[in-house]
Amino acid sequence: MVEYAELQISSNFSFLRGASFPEELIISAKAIGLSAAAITDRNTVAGIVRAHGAAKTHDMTYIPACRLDLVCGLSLLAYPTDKAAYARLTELLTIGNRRAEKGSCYLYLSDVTAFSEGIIFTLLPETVSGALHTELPLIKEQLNTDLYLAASYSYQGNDKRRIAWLAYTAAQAHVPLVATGNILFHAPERRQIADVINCIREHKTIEEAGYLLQQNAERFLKPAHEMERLFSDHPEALKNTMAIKEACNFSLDELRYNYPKEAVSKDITPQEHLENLVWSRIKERYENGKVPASIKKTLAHELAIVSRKNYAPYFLTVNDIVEYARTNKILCQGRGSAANSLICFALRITDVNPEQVDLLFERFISDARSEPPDIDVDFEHERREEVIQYIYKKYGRAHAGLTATLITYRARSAIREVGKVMGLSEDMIGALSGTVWGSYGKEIPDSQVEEAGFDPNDNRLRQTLNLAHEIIGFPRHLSQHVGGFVLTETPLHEIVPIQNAAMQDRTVIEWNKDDLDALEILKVDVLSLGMLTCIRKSFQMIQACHNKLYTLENIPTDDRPTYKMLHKADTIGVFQVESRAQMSMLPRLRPNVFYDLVVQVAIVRPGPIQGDMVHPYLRRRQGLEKRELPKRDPRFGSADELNEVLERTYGVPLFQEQAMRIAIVAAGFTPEEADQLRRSMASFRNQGTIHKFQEKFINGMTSRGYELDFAERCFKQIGGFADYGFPESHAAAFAMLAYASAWLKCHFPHVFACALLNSQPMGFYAPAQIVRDAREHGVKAREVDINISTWNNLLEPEPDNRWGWALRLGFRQIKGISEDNANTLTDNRLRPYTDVEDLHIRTRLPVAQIEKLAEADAFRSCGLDRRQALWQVRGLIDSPDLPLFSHADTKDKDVEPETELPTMPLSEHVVNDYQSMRLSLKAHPLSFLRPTLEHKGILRCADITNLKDGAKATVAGLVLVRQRPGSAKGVIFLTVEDETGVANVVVWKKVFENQRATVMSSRLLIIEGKLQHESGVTHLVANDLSDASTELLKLSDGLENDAEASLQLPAYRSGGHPRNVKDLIPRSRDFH
Amino acid sequence: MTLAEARAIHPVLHVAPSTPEADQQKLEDLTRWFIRYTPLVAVDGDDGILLDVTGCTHLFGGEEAMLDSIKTRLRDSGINSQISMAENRRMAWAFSHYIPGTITKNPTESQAILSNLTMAALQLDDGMQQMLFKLGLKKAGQLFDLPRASLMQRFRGKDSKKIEALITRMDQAEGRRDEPIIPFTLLPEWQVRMAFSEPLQLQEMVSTAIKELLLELTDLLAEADKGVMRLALYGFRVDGSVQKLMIGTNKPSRDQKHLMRLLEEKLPDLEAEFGFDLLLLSAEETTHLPPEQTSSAKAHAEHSITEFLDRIGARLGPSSVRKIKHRQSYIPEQAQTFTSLQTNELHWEEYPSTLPIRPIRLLLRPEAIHVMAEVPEGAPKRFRWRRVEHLVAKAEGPERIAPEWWINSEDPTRDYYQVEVKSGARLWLFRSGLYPIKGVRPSENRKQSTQPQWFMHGFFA
Repeated sequence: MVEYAELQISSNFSFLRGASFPEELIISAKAIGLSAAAITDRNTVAGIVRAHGAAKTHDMTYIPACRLDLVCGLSLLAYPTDKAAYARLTELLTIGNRRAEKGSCYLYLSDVTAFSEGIIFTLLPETVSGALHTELPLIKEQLNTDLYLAASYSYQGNDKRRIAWLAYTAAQAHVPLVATGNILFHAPERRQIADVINCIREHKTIEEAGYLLQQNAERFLKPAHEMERLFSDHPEALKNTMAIKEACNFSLDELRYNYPKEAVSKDITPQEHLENLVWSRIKERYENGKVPASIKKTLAHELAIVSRKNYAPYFLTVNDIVEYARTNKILCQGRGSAANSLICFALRITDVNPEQVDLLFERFISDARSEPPDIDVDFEHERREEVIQYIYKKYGRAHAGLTATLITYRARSAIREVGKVMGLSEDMIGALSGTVWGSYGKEIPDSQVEEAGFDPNDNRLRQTLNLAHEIIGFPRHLSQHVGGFVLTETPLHEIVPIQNAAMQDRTVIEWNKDDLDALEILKVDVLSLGMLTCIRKSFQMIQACHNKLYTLENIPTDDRPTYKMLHKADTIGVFQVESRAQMSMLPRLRPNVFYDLVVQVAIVRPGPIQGDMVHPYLRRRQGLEKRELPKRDPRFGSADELNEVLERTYGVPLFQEQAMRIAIVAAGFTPEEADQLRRSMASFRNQGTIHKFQEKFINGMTSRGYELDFAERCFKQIGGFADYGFPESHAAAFAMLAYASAWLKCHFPHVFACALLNSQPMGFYAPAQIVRDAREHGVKAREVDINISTWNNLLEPEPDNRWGWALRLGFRQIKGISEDNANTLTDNRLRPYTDVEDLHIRTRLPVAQIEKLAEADAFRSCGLDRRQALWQVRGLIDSPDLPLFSHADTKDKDVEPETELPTMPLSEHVVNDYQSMRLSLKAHPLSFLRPTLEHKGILRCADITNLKDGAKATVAGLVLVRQRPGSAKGVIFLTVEDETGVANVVVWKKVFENQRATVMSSRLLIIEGKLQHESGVTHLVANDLSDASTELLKLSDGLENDAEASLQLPAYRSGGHPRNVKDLIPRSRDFH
Repeated sequence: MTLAEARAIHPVLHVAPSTPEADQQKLEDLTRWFIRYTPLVAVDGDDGILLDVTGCTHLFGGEEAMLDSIKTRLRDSGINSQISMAENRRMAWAFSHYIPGTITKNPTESQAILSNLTMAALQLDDGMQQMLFKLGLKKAGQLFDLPRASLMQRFRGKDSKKIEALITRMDQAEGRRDEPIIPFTLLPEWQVRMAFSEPLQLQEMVSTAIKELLLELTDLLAEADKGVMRLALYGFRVDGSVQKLMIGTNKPSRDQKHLMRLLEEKLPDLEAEFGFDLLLLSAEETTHLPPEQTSSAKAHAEHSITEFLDRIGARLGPSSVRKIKHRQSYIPEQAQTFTSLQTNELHWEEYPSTLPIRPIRLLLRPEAIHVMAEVPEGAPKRFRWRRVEHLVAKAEGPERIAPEWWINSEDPTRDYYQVEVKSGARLWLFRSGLYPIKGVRPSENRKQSTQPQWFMHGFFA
């Protein structure tokens, strides 16, 4: 029996060329009995970890390799024989990557020569431009290492003749011939995919692509006996594949990951250093340095594990980064499994006291589990870049790189690009991709195709949909991870190639998070979080205005007013618990202690919702149901084995860790299996394996004495977690920030609102709602003014106010004003500006920017209203900044005749405020329409909360938010607002279907419906909706002459109205 | 709004593609129809028609009656309309859009009505209109009251053009500046005409007249370095009807003889009946044609081929004479298509040098052959084609060509072989369908019983 190793395979990590996943290729190679396989992607090793993993699981011999496409056109397959050769290969690729822009690699034959030691090369003859028999000896001489010549069957009619000639030429040059399959896909059915992705790459339609397509489906993996038949004249070419296989002994498992030592001196090991630090710092956490004995014991235990696993340098690195942030006054907080350790608490990587939430380190890291610890650190979103550049500076680009993120096809992008290739019109593509709600759509059912107005039986359409479905999950390109850093002691490029990122000053490695996990390479996630910016700004303002120094650590814990505020769902702006779903949960869950907040943060997630865990938890919490822990039939063993896992949540699993623990404790999974289960559910491609796991899970639980129903619910919940994993360790860190922001909002609403506005864009609500909420809490807000405001929103003294301060809106609230221009304005404001011209002369701001200020009505302190200011601004001239013209600064222009402009009615001012700043302090637009609305019997939003449950009511409001959560089965949630408050509207699917147009496109809605009170939350369940958006037009036309205003509406469309309803009031925020 | 958005709102939306060119054509047709009311008609934008009815109204019984007549006629042909009449086109536009049915007869009255209309009635662009709106200037009349200089100062720089246009509009609206209607007729690029006091009835006479017209036209074209691509002859008959002949050329030409020959091919189609009193020869489409030396033999040869093509094109109809064009396809019989004579890009250079050579002649359809001695995955040893038995001496192959999956081809994959038979002929055979190989591919043919079939497809030189 002849043996054969396939040494030329392009996987789909040769982006938009190969048509099979590395895993598929390895598994097929194993299935057809090949002796070994090498994935040779073009100038990249991005796919080799996946192949390595698949090879390990399926016990296949795998050779890490790559294909080098040189600038001169030559292509070589490169097989490193040992670890040193592999390091040379990755360094070579790094050199090529760093020369080129993102996604390209420029290499020359001379580069290859310099790094060729220990690497076996195979030349692809079709890439040689000159005569092979003269070029081959030259290339061999230049490379000065083992060189083979590849021969593969092309099915173009002349194969026997061509291969004979190759064999002859190779023999002449003393270069051995090696047979390859030049593989593009694992099975012939993938030819269509190969064609389609080729077209995507070349931006061609399938009809135009012509000879770019595959002539036949032959480039699939073939078994040894078939290769033997094809190469019957050249048996040595098959033998040589085995020779290369034998020579290559390198496995990725050999990559010893070496963490930066973080050594302070030579005499002290990282472990000792860490221990010293921890023991000295933990004292600072306790009053008078009295560390409780239990803490000491746990700490010693944690340090022992860290020592055994050799993780000390990792903790030291995170500590160093956090230290840098702290000295530079950048607020940060760690989260993730290892972050909730006492070590991290001592090092101030986190301020969550692990004792307080009862999170045990061992639950995340133990001797048994091989998974590396995970610490994510969130930094202020405006200052994270400083931290990133610090890391590059400290470790150098040779030792630090950002993790890659693999961008893969999702339902929408797949339909879009395959549709284009298959020649569907833009319209059709748009309509089809529009039917996919959410990014991970499944196959589009026929009914949806019909709904979009197409015939699902149309052949071309069917083909398109099938192909699009097949390429979902295919890698498209590498991008940079938001902040995952890999740091190494020895040069990083000896482990993995580094490439340039699209962003300047960033370098990225070729592997993603999963690859790193698989090789047990540690990474530090340096993430950004808007709320941290907001909290830091709040602390600074409190210090400046109230002379009190607060930090995340010293804000009072268990503050009753704060929890009371949370009970009322008064949480606009509060981190994590401000969404409508969270708001409706708060009065039911009524958090009273910190751990309740941890639950609160985690419970409104697809995991617990899909697993149907929310209501049981609430019932148990409210005491409506017995807090029963799931028990198993005692005949099978200890009935209470899940107590430890589920006690804290009254027997209802809510966190990702709990679900995993159930798999381990109750279903008998090994930790590795549990993890595989989670991963396999995250990547929906492996639907086959999910089924296997489901069986194992449910059988595991029932055979160990649990009820089938409970087992099934647990499994469903893991499904939810897989997509939107929310672990307890993260929830705890988020709860900390939720508490801090709630406390700020409760006690310093003026500061909190100001900081929130100054940290935009972030969070769930627009500035208008933040300001409105602040005013409802007694904060005084003042208009933007050129003589008072700065770029940022400010607090200014206001003796009449409860807190003694008022919020002055800043220029950043005005659409279209740049920060630089705002600063120029404030820098030149040594004395007040007297009018528009004065401002123009002194600041030299572009007239267009001054016009924006006028449109924001910011000239009031000059005695000019919006319209007068605008008239003045329009009279300015943008004079070039030349010395010759500087005399022109003095006012010597002709005095122009006073022009009497009509006064702007208040309602129009409000509309203009909305246009310029998306908010108005003057009035709410609806207040002008109130008489008409009242006449129609429409209630105010604030009034309906007093009506009894089940009462009928009609309200009108501006649509703020439209939501159609995937988990809510077609129900639409609307938030509408009038001058008195907001109303939460629920539109059931049936009503929605009937009044789709009204729901989707109205700015001003009138809703008639039935009230529903539940635990302090009021919903209006819509029966009938009507669009009253055109009413808003009256605002800008001036209500006083209503009859005349209607005359102004054109009788015919092309006349158009100067203002479209849609420009009048900003669009709602829509979430799917 | 995109179609997808519109569909999200209203899923049963009826969608038809927009055809602005067809719309414009329709509007032009309709405009032409209005010549019954006045000779001065023009298309106004993409949805309006402008008529200068000065001095015409009395023919239709006065302004009101004329408006009614137009309205009724339009309604009868299924067209809704908004019509107004005023003493200049801007006023008429404003009234028809905002207060249709208005008829004004004197400037003061019009001015008063216009003053009360919205600013949009002045046909301003959106940006300008919004700015004026913000300044509280919402009615056209407010603008007339404003000092012009102040207004001009407010719209400087890139807006200056707009304000100029605005002032012009205002003047036009006030009737201060006259804006002429550019009447609507479709003028061909070049045309010559000849009128006859005695109507021409005989074909020879027509033919002589055409020759003279052609002489005149080609002189004009030569002066302008133009050649004709499409030429029309209009014969205006004494009974008021018009006859039309149209010829086209494959290359621009101003060769009288050639063009005459083409026209003569068609001349019998012309029906003179009571005779023509006017002949009009019009070059409907021309392109640049510099003067060229006619003596070079190659140019002459090319010339005569084109002229020949023009002539058989004119005789057989242009769609009957075609060229062969390369099409990028691996399927041999689909690698070429027919195309019109005018096409010069035949793309034969795109055939890649890396692909194997193709036979010099392909059979129109592959012909089934009977293979006697078959070798799996190899060329046959012996086969019969058209009742003649052939012994294969040499063979090379296979070249494997899979069907074009995107057209849902049901054809099996083909394996092509070049074979040389004992008699010396080199033939191109293929087997339709692949042999199943254990562990590599299952049988491609769904119906297991059908054996792979062999075909003869072409000849090599």
